[in-house]
Amino acid sequence: MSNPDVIVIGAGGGGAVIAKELGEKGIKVLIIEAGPWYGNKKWPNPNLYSGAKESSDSNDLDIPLYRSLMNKYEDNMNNLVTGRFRWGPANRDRAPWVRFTPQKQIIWQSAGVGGSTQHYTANSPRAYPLAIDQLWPLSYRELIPYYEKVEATLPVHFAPTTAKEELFYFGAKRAGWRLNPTLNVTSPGFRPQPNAILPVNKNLTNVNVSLEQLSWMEGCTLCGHCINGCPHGPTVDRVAKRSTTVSYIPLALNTGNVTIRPNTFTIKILTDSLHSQERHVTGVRIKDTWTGEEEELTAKVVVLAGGSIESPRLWLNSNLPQNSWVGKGLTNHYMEWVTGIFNERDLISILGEPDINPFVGHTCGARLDFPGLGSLQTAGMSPGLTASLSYGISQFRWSIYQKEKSKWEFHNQIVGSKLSDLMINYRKTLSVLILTDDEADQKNGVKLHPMISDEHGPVPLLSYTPTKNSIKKRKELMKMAIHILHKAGAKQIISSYWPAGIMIHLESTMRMGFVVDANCEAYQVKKLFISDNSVHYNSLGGVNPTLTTQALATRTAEKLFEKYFN
Amino acid sequence: MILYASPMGGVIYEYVIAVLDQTLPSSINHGDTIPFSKQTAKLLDMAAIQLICRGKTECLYHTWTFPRKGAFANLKRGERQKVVDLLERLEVPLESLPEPFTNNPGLTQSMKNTLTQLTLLGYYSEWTGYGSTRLKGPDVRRIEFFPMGWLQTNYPGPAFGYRNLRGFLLGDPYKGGGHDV
Ligand SMILES: Cc1cc2nc3c(=O)[nH]c(=O)nc-3n(C[C@H](O)[C@H](O)[C@H](O)COP(=O)(O)OP(=O)(O)OC[C@H]3O[C@@H](n4cnc5c(N)ncnc54)[C@H](O)[C@@H]3O)c2cc1C
Repeated sequence: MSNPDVIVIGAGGGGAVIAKELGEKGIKVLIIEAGPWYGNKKWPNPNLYSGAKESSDSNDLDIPLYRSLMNKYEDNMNNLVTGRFRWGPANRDRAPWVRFTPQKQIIWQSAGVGGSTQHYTANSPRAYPLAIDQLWPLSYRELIPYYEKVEATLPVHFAPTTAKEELFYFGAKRAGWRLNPTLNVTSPGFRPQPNAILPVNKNLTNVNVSLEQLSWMEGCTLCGHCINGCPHGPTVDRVAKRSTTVSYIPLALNTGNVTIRPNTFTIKILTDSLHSQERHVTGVRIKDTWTGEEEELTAKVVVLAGGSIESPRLWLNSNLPQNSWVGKGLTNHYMEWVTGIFNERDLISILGEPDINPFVGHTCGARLDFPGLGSLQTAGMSPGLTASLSYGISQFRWSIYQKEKSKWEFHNQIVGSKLSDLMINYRKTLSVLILTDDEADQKNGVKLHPMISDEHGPVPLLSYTPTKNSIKKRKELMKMAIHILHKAGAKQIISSYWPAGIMIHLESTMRMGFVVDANCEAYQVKKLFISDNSVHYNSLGGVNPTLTTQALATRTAEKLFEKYFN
Repeated sequence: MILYASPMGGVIYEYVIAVLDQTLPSSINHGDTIPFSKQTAKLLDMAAIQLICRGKTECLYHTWTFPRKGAFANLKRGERQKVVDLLERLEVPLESLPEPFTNNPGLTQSMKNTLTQLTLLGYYSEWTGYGSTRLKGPDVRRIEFFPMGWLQTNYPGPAFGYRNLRGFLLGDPYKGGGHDV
């Protein structure tokens, strides 16, 4: 596409949404995406050959191709170094793109059309009103119509119940919690996850329709592969898990106004004058990730949607005006992971079955909210991810020479025969992920590495230490999770004590009120908008971030249109 | 016919080496000539010497004292774990670590988790099922066997779906399904 009105940098959780919204208003949009495009005929071998330059036609989307790429194998899909969902170029013979931290880290993001929503588990709760009102430059009430629009578009539904959810609800009830049947959470309680996953196929229990047939039809089949990249549906735009590749991207293409160029890294945001205080964006400098060729493109408006690490990195690498909050305030929900192991007799009496089978159903189907502290959610995954998340990461030492804390609860990295004993019980395992209401602190964030650069400029250097409040809150949530698992009948409970550097929900590095205004336009660079997790003023109270990013993207599209195109 | 993988617990190190060697771009890894796995092995050996010499005023061990196996590989399992813990606690002279660990506390500390995570993902994912193609590129590998870790965990493998629906706790929020009541 030549002469787009708007260039969007990044086709992930936020970028895809704003592109579709602008396209519907008749604006010509070009999305520049660093990673590959899976499921588009113009890239039949997206990890092997460079393929075409761009695509703007929804007829290019191809479900058999998408299915063959999303093959549900966890090493092939989720390996952070060589998996299809990695932060790196499409060509898997090359190394991923690096980030540095001065601490233990796992940074879990993905390049590609769909961005990190390709592997996200589609949990789409709204922020807690308590975390928005009187803190953000806009109110929760102002967000509601945008939440509603995104929930209807994705769409979002409460998760169905399989064994792992039932067991969690059972434990939560016995621990004294009540069902909270709402989308606007103002008090504690448990509820099914509001998930961006299509409702279960009505024929799922009809044995005359084979499971393979069902997998080519519309609706969730409870196959449990949300995190590995759900491949099931009749067409790409009707795939069950609503990563933006299958939701907003097809809708954007349908407007006839949106073109997407994958395999292209934006290396600089261009502005008019280097010296005046108020600058205006003029375009971007891009680099092809297969050929290394560089090019400059112009546009009236640029939307930065590279995620909470690359958005500040690109600002800094573009020599945009100094702002002491660019890159600062990083939150990551200071996560923790607690696992319960159950015995057969208890499971038969609670569930009527000897196993939980954590690989069945939505990857994360049940949650407990506690405004003021954060939230808990169930998580059930394939064995490789389970082993590494439950037993393979800890800020503590190996369990083999650490004394157990009590009979049924121990914390640490587990190896040897203890590990295999636990994994033999994999099918009797229920894991709970803890999301802390994590405080934004200017000490935490992203800056440029003083010495190391890659082909796109100085690489990002991340640092994150939880604040005292975040540490206190995580402790409280851990107690709640352990109590629920205990009440559900778990015979062993393992808290992993994840180190602070686990980056799955990155937010708040280009905060609203500091770097961007309430309409998400940069204070210091006019016509530059930001539309990703980085604009969140805070970590939403400990709630999964993407729905709020998507609601804001919908709102930003309106504001941007009114200001510059009306 | 389902073929089961022969026990491949002994080859998970190949996975760890292969993934490590693809982790860092050559610009940071000082050229492809020194693979990251080799540098990681050197790092472990240096930390092993550190452990052996701990508390001793005079210590004559060097990385080259153990010609065939490295210092690390010579230790017993419990001691090997202690060595990795030394790295995690950064009780090693950061300035004399091999590249790219030199003065890089984050990377050095991360190695304990990295090595553990890779071992677990190699063992419990589909990787052992790739059999004779396991060391080929990700787009060339083919599943030949039922993976070993799935046998241990009794995981049935990827599925088209499961008929295990137990119902719904809440209905559709947009059809009066009980939200905001
Ligand atoms: C395992 C996992 C599960 C998750 N589950 C959930 C969940 O259930 N619910 C939830 O709310 N959140 C979840 N998350 C988090 C979720 O993925 C993010 O909140 C969401 O994707 C963030 O959207 P974003 O637009 O900020 O960034 P991204 O989705 O990461 O999109 C950024 C895009 O920009 C591209 N890009 C970056 N820099 C450039 C550049 N310079 N030039 C061109 N392109 C560029 C990237 O390649 C990427 O495609 C999960 C994350 C992980 C790792």
